[in-house]
Amino acid sequence: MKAMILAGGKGTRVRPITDALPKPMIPIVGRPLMEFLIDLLRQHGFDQIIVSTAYLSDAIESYFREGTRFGVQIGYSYEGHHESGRPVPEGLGSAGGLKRVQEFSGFFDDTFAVLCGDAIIDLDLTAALEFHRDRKAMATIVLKELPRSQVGSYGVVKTAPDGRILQFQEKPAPEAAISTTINTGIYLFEPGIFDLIPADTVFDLGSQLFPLLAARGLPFFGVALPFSWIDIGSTPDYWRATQMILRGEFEIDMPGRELAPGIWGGINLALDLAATDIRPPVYIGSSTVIEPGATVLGPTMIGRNCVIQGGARINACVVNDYTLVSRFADLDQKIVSGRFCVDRAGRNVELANNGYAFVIDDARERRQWTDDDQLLMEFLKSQSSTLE
Amino acid sequence: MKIDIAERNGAAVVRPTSARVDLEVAGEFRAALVQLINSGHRRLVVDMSDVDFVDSSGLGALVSALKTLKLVKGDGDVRLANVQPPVVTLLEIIRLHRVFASYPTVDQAVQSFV
Repeated sequence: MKAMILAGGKGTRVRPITDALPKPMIPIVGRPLMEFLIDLLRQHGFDQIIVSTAYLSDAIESYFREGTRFGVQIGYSYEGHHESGRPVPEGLGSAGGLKRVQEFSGFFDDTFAVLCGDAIIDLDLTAALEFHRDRKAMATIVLKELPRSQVGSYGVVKTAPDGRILQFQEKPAPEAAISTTINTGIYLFEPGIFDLIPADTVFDLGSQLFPLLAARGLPFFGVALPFSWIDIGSTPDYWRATQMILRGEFEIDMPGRELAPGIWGGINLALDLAATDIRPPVYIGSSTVIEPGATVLGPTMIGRNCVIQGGARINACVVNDYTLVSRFADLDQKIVSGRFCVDRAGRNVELANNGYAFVIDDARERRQWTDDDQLLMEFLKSQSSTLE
Repeated sequence: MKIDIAERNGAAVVRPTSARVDLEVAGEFRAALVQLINSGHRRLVVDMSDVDFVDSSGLGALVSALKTLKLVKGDGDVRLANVQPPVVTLLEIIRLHRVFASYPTVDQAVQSFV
């Protein structure tokens, strides 16, 4: 069966993580977010997948390639063009992007799935497909109940008892929402929908196609199945998602091996569990050194090739690949890399690029310290008994 | 940068009026602190109301003043007031919140010396 993953977005609400990485490539315990979607599609028989790309498309294409490594076939629909070698995105909207593929080759010739590339799900797609076929639906969207306070970022639907969607409302104010049942960005479609999508026009699924389907009384259904869904819409979502996965609230195959109960690691680690204070759940990527005297409290995810110096304290953090966390750092509920540090609410903390490279840095960097850096480092060392 | 200096109940209150105390302005900030210490002040309160970022040169100025008072002069202290959330986070990350006593208002910081 065929499927499409919408992966062209800029992920502006997940900055600064997405400054150098497209959202589908955000690492979730060692694997890009989108890999979980590809796995799910394959498990349910969707083995021909078109990925729409635009922002930082090379990162996605050079990782997933033709899909062979993931047991599927992958093709890309690049939504943009180049001007003198510089990429210029030309987003067609979610529905316009589907239409573009259909116009190109008539690719979608049977029931197909569409997923947004920014969520991790463990949905039984086969059950959703059965529902879709039983109802002879033209479009089925997978629904989820949310607390009213959270519905404002999503499409909200009102359904009949048989699942038919009566009304569709895109991103309403929570108090004006017609229900608390939301669209998760997981869809099953029949090729018939293309009759409703204009060619070469920016056209959106949520704000244009779905209201049209509902208004015309076409067989448009919603199905609410029990499943876990972690939407990475924003930087705080990313922090929360990693915490949930490490705590086992969303089950994935942990990469690497279990070094001690709840402590997972890759290969080539420089780490003495007896000389460090590491408390589960923790994942440590390959080729990372955790020096004696370091404290790492879970749920914490540490990436590849990191250096965690003795004296560093890390609690409930996401530490990206190639990050140096120095002996002077006490990190509580942060997402850090050599380029940025953000707190769990998504607020930026200026460090590495603003004169605090001796606290957090890119582990590959060799620095010349200024007099002030030296003064501070010496002072912090002299105060270490007070500070610990 | 403009640095406001006032005296209150025997303490010198130093208020940087720029949002970023960084390389560009740290020299002036440091000079103001040194000047106060040299003229005999031992109780310094830095009013951080306007500051949302201090770089290592700005923090170096604060640490130098603290070291001079505590280690060279043997008494006195540098205390902070009105520290804004981004600076609080920064101080917590490098654990300097345990070195610099910090108070919600200038009055409370000044009173803490009495």
